[in-house]
Amino acid sequence: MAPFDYLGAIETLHELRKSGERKSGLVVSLGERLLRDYTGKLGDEVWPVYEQVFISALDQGNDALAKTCFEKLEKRFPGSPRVKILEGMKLEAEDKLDEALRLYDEILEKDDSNIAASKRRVAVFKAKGQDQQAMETLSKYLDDFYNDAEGWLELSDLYLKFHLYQQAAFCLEELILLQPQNHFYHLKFAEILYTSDTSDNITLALKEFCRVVELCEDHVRALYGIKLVNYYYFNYFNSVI
Amino acid sequence: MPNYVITTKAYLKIILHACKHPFTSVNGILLAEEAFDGDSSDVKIIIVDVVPLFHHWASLTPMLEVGLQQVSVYANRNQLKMAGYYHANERADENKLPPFGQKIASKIQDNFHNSIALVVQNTKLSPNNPEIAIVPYIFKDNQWRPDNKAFSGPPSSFTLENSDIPSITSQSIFKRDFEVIYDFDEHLENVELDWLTNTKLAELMHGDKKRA
Repeated sequence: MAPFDYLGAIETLHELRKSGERKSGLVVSLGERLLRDYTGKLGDEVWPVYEQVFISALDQGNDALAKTCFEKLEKRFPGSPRVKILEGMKLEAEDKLDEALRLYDEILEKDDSNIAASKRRVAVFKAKGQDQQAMETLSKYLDDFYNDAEGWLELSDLYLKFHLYQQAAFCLEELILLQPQNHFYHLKFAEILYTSDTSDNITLALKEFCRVVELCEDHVRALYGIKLVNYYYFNYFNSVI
Repeated sequence: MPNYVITTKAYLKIILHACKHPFTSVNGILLAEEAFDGDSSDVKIIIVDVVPLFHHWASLTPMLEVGLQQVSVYANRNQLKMAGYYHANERADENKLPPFGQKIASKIQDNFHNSIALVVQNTKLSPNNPEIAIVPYIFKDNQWRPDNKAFSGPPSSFTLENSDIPSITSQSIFKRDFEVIYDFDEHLENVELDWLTNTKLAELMHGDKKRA
């Protein structure tokens, strides 16, 4: 059997922490092995890895692994608000949503600028199916922390769930202001505009699709978007003539 | 009302698509063959296959339009009809057909009168406990209504091709077959991926049949 490529595993976990991708299966399989046999090789990096594996273990329903990681973190960082957030996530995973909410509210009472607690509250409202509450809470959060791209993206998804295209488009405009070179936001903006189906918006959608191709050549979705808008205009002009 | 039969392939692909993307809603199109039921003049609609569409941005229309067009061409080429829509919701406790899904299902119904929708029951997906995890929706009295008595034997109009389908599906999930099912979203990111036929998955399924 090939020896476990622990350096590759450490690198992979590091990349996943940076990118924020949700690949819980991979993290659990690599992380479990690393934490069992290679903690020495991780050095100080072991703590973020414990946190990362904890969260992924919750995702996979691997309660035993989550418990192990949490106990290590709690022992090393007693009373830490960051570890308290993890405790909240564990409650969420156990479907104890009201308890989790209370925990996050307690954290915010002591420190109302705790971003993680504010955002987890939104997640709990979403999990409870209280989408209206989630939207309001997130909206208020973004009033204070308007640089939070992840927050704007999440709010746009909540608006889209209720077909509030204008509001969703507004979120995307904020995102484009924050990161104008990120083609992903132009793409999502273009698709929302096309969906809202007014002739002004379709014109803007075409501009945005073109912008995506400008920033990222051969982007298939954007190329299809350009084709669709042209088709729309072709039909429109045909019906007007 | 016609009789509907859901084949192993169709059922499996729906569930695997949902399993591949457990954090989001997924949807897709049902493809069917029409047949006549023995000596009676009843129409039998066999859902032989499905084409997985999206696992994100499912309520945005541009790629939906492109996807539906391509599925339509594919269906015609393979002498199949676009006979419905399937959907799996994001949250574990959401088991109804959402408004946007109803719109898509209605659109398909414009072209195929006997269209149905299949909604995955997220609470019944555990491979440790195989049970039928879909509920069909039919358009009656101007609304999409769930048929909660489906698959429970006559007089239900819905049957599974084979009563072992839930356990076959569980086996498939344990073997992680869902890693090779590709939908339109993934195709748009990598056009090499075959989302219409999903040949890799078909090979795995065929291999299972040989072994069984």
